Amino acid sequence: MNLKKPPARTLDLKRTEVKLTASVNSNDKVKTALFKFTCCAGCQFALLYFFHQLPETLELLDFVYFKMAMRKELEEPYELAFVEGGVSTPEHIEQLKAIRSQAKVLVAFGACAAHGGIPSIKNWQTERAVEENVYPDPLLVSSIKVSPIDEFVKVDYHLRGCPIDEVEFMELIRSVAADKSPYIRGHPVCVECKLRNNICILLMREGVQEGMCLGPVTRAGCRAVCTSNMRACFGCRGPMSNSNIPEMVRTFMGKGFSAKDIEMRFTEYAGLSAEFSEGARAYYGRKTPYYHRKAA
Amino acid sequence: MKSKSALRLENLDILIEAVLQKHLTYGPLAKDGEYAWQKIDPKSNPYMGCAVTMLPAKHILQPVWQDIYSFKFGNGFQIKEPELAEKIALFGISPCDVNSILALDRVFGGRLIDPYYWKRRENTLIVAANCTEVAGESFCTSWDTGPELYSNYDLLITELSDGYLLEVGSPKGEDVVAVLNLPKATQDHLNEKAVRLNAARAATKKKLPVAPDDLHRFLKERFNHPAWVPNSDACFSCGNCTIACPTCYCFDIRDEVMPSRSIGVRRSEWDSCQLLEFAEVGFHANFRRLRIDRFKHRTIHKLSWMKQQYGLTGCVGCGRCVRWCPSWPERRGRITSLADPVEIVTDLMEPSERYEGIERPGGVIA
Amino acid sequence: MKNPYIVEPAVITGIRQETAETKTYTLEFIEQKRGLEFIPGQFNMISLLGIGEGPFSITSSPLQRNKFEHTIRLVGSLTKALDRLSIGSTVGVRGPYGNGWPVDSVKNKDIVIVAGGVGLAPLRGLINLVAEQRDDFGEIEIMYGSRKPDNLIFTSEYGNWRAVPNMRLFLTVDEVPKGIEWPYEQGVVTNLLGFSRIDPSNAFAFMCGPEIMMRFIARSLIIRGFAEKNIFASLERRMECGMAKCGRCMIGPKYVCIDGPVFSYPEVKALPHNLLTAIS
Ligand SMILES: Cc1cc2nc3c(=O)[nH]c(=O)nc-3n(C[C@H](O)[C@H](O)[C@H](O)COP(=O)(O)OP(=O)(O)OC[C@H]3O[C@@H](n4cnc5c(N)ncnc54)[C@H](O)[C@@H]3O)c2cc1C
Ligand code: SF4
Ligand code: SF4
Ligand code: SF4
Ligand code: SF4
Ligand code: SF4
Ligand code: FES
Repeated sequence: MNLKKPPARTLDLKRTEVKLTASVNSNDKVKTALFKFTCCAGCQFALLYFFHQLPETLELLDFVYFKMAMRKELEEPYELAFVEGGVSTPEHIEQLKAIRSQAKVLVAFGACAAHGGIPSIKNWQTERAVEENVYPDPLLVSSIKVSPIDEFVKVDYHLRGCPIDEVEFMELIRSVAADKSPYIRGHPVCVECKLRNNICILLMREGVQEGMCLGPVTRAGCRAVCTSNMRACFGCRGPMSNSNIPEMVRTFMGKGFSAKDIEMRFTEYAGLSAEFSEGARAYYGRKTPYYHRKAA
Repeated sequence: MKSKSALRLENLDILIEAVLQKHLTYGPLAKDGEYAWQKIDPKSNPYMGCAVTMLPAKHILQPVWQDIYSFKFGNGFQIKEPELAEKIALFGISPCDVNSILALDRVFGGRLIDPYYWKRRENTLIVAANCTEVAGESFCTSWDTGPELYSNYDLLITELSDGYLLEVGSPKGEDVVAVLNLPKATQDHLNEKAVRLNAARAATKKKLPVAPDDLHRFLKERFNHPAWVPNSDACFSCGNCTIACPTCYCFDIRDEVMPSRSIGVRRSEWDSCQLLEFAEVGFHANFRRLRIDRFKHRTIHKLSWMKQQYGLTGCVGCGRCVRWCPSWPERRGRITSLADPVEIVTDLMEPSERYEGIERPGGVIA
Repeated sequence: MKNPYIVEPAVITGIRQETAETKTYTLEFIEQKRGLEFIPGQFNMISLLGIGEGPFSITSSPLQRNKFEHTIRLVGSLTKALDRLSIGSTVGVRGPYGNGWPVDSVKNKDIVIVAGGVGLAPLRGLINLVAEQRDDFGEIEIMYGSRKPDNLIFTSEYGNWRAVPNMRLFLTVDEVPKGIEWPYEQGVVTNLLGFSRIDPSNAFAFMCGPEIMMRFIARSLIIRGFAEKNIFASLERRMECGMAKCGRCMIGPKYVCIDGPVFSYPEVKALPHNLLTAIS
């Protein structure tokens, strides 16, 4: 892996002091490729920021393709594929299927790949409305809806979150290298929030937006970063394994949040998931998003 | 304990300092407008009232994350146990929490002793504080686990109108206060303590509507009561009621490994029976897949089964689950905490017919 | 204070492929030249450090102390990693845990053993104990069923079992794939009870397998005249510690790891959230 000498136009990684351990030869490493579709590339960027972990990451993974960090074009075969971003063009679908046929392990990398993420907010409006909103002359463009990658291919593991979490990422690559299934939390953010001895902002910050915490229905794994910093969870990791959406909606209603507030909270990151779209629909009058999810 | 001696204490600072001499000391300190168990120093001001802290003091004896051991492997393996020798003090722990520790003692004791808990426990100085006021969520009087502590302390503080009464309950406590040369307390002080604690008892309005000894039969009879349905439908399965509970002890064990360096740790993390994954086995089979089964398991384990297993109550009435449950549905015309044992028991007292025709709202059940 | 979480290294000295996804491993402790003292039906926690730990029944006879056996089916991470091991590899072992079958109370009694799939594993130690101490027990009937003929475990021992006086083995499978010769029964394992020649009034029944299956077996046994208190089942729950600390294996007030895994039928009946005695 050639992160040691970063090419001119990529990030300066010097301060991470990347040292490859001589004892590990690169044949033992997992050949890895990282692809990007529709997203802000923030998760790749975050990956570069996990600098305490970079030495170990590079001991375990041999990146054959990683646009943000390496100039190298994709040519070698790979076993582990990280796919960042949602699917929004027909070419994406083709590319994705090709990735699936090559990779032994395919990982949805970040909220956009896992649930559509921020770009998926537009799925809740007609394409026409989106185009008119964004472009001066809608005739110039033709946009399509965004969808999570597992709508088209089988995904082995999801690294959820906007952006992905460092600890979960390390757990995933260590597990892949050791050939065991990683521990991906199914329980809600509340668990990690409480384990960190936090007070509950949903209960303590009644009636203000900062207290509109989606923690009880959102999947943990982020170490409750937001609530630990006194900010409500806005559900960037999507639904937990057994979420109770009707109760979440009732709780928000009881605290005086409007239908619009509730819809916005549920659709911000994972509105395309069956669970969160149920929450968004609940009081918005609309039965389904305009783009209704269906299996590939 | 016969040899109890009662002393007068002008202010807490000198006691805190004496305890700090030899102990890593924890106490309930203010955090974000609430209280949380944190390390204290001579300047801090631990709360001596009924603090329904976020996590209970349990997390000091049985940490949320605990390295069981680290290991190195290759050809065979070597195991390295962590060292735990530090002396700990729990400063200002309330009577209900001391009672919860007695229950945990039985859980982590028994035939196969959990060495991590016990090493910390043996090195722990309990500086308890009686509650002269009981928080609105708490119902310790129902179990007689508070507001007064009768035994099992090293030192016991009771706030008086001026200064404090300090009772010594063990040689360990004696050692700490010996250097302070405190004056003996008078009968007046002891009388004032009794008056104050009786007042606190009388002021505690929240009460379990079923006598503790009767709960076992009560819950058994109502295992299929329809009130469980609306209760569990309002539950997020978020686990807060168990993570915050001072007598909950369940945990998970996982290995973390750095494959390239052939080292790793086996680690435990608190877990909760309210979570879907708790009872899951291979091929995703799960014996408590339904939310209602998990909700029942927690409630009945706290209120009855723990007593059956360990002979001590599994709920000490601290009120943490009441305080920290994010779900507050309407019951009997009032907005109440879903996890509140008193409310659940009250619901179960209603005749079944009351629930006839109540439709199950469409909760998502995995 | 001995730390009960510490695993002792044991080396794999033998591996036998039972089915495509099940292997029997022979283990010997490396350090202490002590053996393992146990009751059939008890289990060990087997660790592969870095991967995880899981409960597995001891399947060898308790009379053989210096080495012991485990029969393990491929399920998830841990069992997959165990499957990759070869002779000479080291695993971590702690145990034995659990109560085991009530061996002492069945001395001189007739026993019907009913098992499904890999559920025969915790019963093999008992069967071999009976074979070795034949005079201490009454008649033994083994009723064993599985999905397909090639899912049967311990096939190499059936000959020995059949050769033991007053020990009878009956086999059944749910389906027989085309082209495979199958001289035994076809259908659910409860059907085999029809072949029983044991007088149920004073006999014991031991069973292990999927809980739903055991529900039907237990009903048939009761109908045939077995006393409920003489019916025992080995239950399976999620386990992390094996010693009543982690709470994972709880069924109502009982810990499967110390109060079980073997429970009598009346005991199970008193437990919530079990599929064995659930009414449906
Ligand atoms: C008393 C007892 C005796 C057993 N005896 C045998 C045996 O003789 N042969 C055999 O093949 N299997 C046996 N099992 C089942 C065996 O423990 C599981 O199949 C195994 O733990 C699965 O681990 P895994 O990591 O491969 O699966 P995963 O699904 O990856 O497991 C993840 C986690 O769940 C736990 N877990 C998963 N399934 C079970 C389960 N069924 N019971 C307890 N914990 C589980 C594991 O310990 C692990 O921590 C027994 C289980 C119990 C409770
Ligand atoms: S702040 Fe949010 S995540 Fe934390 S406990 Fe409260 S509801 Fe749950
Ligand atoms: S607390 Fe919520 S919004 Fe914040 S990172 Fe975690 S899942 Fe995302
Ligand atoms: S059940 Fe609730 S009130 Fe009882 S001890 Fe636990 S947290 Fe406290
Ligand atoms: S209530 Fe649940 S988490 Fe708490 S001790 Fe009981 S089983 Fe464990
Ligand atoms: S009762 Fe309340 S705290 Fe407990 S799991 Fe349900 S919602 Fe969470
Ligand atoms: S396995 Fe931990 S309590 Fe039974």
